[in-house]
Amino acid sequence: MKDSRTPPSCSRRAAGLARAAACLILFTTAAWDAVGASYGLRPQPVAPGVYVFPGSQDALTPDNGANIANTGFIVGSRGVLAIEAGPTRRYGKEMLAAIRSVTDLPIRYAVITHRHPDHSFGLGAFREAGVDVLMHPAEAEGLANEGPALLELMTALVGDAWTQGTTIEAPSEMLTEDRHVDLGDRPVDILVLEGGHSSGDLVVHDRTSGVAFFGDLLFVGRAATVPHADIGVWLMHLDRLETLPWTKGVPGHGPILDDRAGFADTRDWIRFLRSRILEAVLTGESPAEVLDPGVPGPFAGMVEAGPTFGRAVLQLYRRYEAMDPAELDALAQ
Amino acid sequence: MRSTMLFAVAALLITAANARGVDPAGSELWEDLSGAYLGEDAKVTFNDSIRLMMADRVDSAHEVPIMVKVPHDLRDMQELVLLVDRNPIQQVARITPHRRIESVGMNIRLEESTPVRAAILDPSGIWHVATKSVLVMSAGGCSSPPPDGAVVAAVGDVNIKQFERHGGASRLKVRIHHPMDTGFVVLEDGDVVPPYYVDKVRIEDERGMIADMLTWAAMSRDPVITIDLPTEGQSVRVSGSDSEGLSFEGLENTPLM
Repeated sequence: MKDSRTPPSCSRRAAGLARAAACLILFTTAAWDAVGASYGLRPQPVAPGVYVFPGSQDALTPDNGANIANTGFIVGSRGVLAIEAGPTRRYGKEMLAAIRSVTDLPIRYAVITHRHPDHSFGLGAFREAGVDVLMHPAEAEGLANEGPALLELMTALVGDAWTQGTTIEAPSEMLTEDRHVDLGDRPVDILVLEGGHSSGDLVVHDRTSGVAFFGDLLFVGRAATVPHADIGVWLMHLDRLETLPWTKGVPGHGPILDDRAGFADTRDWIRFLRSRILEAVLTGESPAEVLDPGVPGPFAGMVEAGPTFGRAVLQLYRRYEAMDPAELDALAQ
Repeated sequence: MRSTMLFAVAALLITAANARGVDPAGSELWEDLSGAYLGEDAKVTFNDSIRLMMADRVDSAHEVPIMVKVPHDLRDMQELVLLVDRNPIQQVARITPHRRIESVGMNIRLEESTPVRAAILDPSGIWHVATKSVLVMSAGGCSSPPPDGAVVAAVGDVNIKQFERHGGASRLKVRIHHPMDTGFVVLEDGDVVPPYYVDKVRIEDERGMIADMLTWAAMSRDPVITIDLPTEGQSVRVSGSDSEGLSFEGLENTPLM
């Protein structure tokens, strides 16, 4: 009986990279013509003094350079607050330039809602420009630990023409409690919501316009990812966010909301994931049996539903399987 | 003259292809693979009624759950063999049932995108093969270090759980704590992690043997083996050994869930 008939044909990767693969979207080797790689960011006004750079509703591809998340900024009479830094240093720089096309006021703050690469990897450009970069400490730690392997993976996915010059940088300020800042006749709340989608998600609420930036606590039309999620806490956060007095909601991914109905995309999906995988663990079903039929009908139309389902089932199954019966009972409530 | 030659060559090729079936996955490795693990003279038929359940795209190649549903007309199978064409370790497990088994599942390693095969030997000596082609997004399931995981048990510790199923049927879920080192992982300092894996597993209960298995390191770290039985197992016992000669055993300690 032969055990080995073909040599191992693929390269070895760092241990973290395999784990990182679970967080990201697609693995292809990308070739990209370095000339002309540009995100073409154009600020889209959503309210007086509030702008969004909409991300592409797509996987990470060499075409979009990992520009898949929504970013934006708020302009007061004395300064600017940016939300997110985008996926690469190049994006961060282009974002700064695009903000400059709207206002000459100093960019005082950049709020990075959480550690995931499509939101955080551009923060070096903001630090370089002297901007105060805010993040939750647990997310900053996660970024420092997981960032290098994820950057390697992102480069493989989108090509180094986009990621060139990107380095994993730390924020300048850690936020563990809600914070109020004034951009000049423009009071802005930065809310800290811990332990739901990630260890510490930040939400930005501009009281003047009523626009709220929800980060990845909210996905619209796209399957929410759960690598660091506690779904029960996340659902509580969504309840809280729903009752905030916002009039326009910018999700981490997907179109801007005018009303609360769009919360259903995230809420229904993560509820479904929790109950389906919990059921599987309790009845001894294999993840293979959960995955084999594919994404159930109501969710199949969401962007990235298939790949996200594939990762989420394994991530949550492993976590729930390791719980003792009391914890599982609590989860089932 | 030339066309006659071509015809002869073509006829030879067709004959060769038919000997062990025409691979629906079109893998150029099938001929060698089936010859090595099912036998050079094996009679093979590809059988759609065997359900090989798994994701068709895989991000975490170190641990890919699969489940083989054995169709009713093959429940008197003599052997079930799991194979992976494009793995450095192509043979995952050979399972000999001693009782009717309705399905078998486990978690396996995939080195790269590949067809995966479940081959079932019927009593007349014919292999019935199910094939599924899987896209592996992050390669290296056999040759890169597995992701960090909490070490929760000693090597050889066995957990057995039994789950009630419809109509008195039962699912046995066995987890064996073991590194299942493939021998293909090279560390940063250039050292190769030597192969070290569970190579034999026996599952039995008060009524006797349920199944015995030969296994290889294409099973994931801390392998989970799932077996569906038409009736509940009584006081299940799992025993086995690994490639270093360590013996282990576990007794069912969790009541029927």
